[in-house]
Amino acid sequence: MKRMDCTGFGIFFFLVTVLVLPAIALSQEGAKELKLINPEGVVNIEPMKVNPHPASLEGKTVVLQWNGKQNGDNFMNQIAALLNENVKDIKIIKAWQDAPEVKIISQNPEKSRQLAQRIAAFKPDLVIAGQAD
Amino acid sequence: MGIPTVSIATSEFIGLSKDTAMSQGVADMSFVVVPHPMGGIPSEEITQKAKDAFPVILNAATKWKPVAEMPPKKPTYPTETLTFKGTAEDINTLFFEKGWSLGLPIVPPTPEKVAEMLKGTSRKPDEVLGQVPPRMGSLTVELVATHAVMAGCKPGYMPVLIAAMEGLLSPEANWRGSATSTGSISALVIVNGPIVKEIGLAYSQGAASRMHHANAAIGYAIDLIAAIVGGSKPPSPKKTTLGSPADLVAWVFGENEDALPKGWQPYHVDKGFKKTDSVVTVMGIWPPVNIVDLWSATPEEHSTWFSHAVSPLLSIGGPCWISQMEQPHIIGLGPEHADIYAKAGWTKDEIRKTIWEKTRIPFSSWAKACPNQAAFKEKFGEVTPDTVVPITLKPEYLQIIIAGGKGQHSHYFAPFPGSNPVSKVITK
Repeated sequence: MKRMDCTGFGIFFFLVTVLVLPAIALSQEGAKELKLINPEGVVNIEPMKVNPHPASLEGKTVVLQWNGKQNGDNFMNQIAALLNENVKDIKIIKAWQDAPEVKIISQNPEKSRQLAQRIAAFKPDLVIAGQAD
Repeated sequence: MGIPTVSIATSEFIGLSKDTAMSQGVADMSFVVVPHPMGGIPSEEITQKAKDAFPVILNAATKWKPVAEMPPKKPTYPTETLTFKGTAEDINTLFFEKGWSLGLPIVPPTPEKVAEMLKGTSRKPDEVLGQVPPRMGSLTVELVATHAVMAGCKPGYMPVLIAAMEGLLSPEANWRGSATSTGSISALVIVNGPIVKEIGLAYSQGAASRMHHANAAIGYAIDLIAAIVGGSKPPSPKKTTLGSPADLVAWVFGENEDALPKGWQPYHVDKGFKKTDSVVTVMGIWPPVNIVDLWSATPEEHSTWFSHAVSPLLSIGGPCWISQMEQPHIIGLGPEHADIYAKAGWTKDEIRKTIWEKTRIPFSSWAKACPNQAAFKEKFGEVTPDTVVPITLKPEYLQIIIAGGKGQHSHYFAPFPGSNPVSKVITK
């Protein structure tokens, strides 16, 4: 019985030595401590101040902006009708009708600035803009 | 200006909208979400969506207040580092899980490897080339080198990579648009001049295909920068419906200047550069059209075949997005097709004019709902359904390069709206 125990231990020791330890060693092969550079880069953008919204739209001028994508005008026309029905003395300007040049996707920052300036020229109290497909 | 705004976006695009606001310095903005889509649905559905959204719009207009603030600024140089213990496989897993790789393997960017890469340029590592859209990550020369390491570039590729970045960062390239579009848009990079042979950039047989180290590594580095520094990752803010393998490795090849017919100038010389200049040209493109033509023997036959294979509708051109008719498109003539014209004594100007005259389809081909038809009528005057519409407003917008090697194939590279080919001199 004692002899069998020794044999069992020997087999166990053999298996650990020959099979398990090399496998552990293999899994650690090439494992190193490395310093790596974070490839994301930082985002440093000047914060833009956002003005408070009006407490009410009554008597205010609201510009509706559509970027030319399909059905955006139909949606905005519905919103214009609902605003007129529900808000007293509201003035609605559909930018794409009064200034067709804003009915585009700007494509670059300079064009975006031009569009914003054109819309600002209406002197609105609020802009409601639709975007995306 | 500071005018209060309520911005309406569909459920599929709200993420992109918020990211865009953030990238302009607006940490918090009043958004209203409507169910996607808006396009391609009947008017009754639009009316219902407007009715459902109206109370939310009204509430946003009068009750909304900002909560979030922009994160504090950090130095752009030196780039942050991290310490990690593991195998190359472990590092690849870490980078992919953090969104720092595209799914393909990367070479771990250690400071030593990046320093070695920086030897390929005289530019200072702390120089900021610009902000990569849409995330607006600051791209330093050191960060370009970091991605060059990850993509397996050699130091000699750095000048091309830096010039390509400068081109893509130009407003004329509209990188933001191509990085966020629903289209399968990718970067096209054409290289001219002595550097092509100096760094072993492929320019002939299968130049944009596999087995060319410089082309593959530079193309991979460009897409790593676009996705990781620029954050252009699907499903948002990169909204591409399907995408393409060019989102992993961008189109990069040299013009085949060796195959230029006698008397023809390389592309960069056409654009006003000296022949001895090394120049990179970049543009956001739709997937290119491969025009096989094994049959034409004369310029008349080839230009006719070409014009039937390429259509103003292929690239959503024409009155849908009239801006696309006012920007350059690139014809990549295969050398064998170029020879058909050269043997008949044709110049590039004659080719572009002929192809322009033949590549047109009737105005009636466009759906009534296409926007900008009014702008189109301003350009063309009164039009009828039978008015034929050319691919660009002027033949000069068709630019010609010699692309590839043997075989009777040419290619057409249509630009993404607002993305013009931007050329930059490569400096070492």
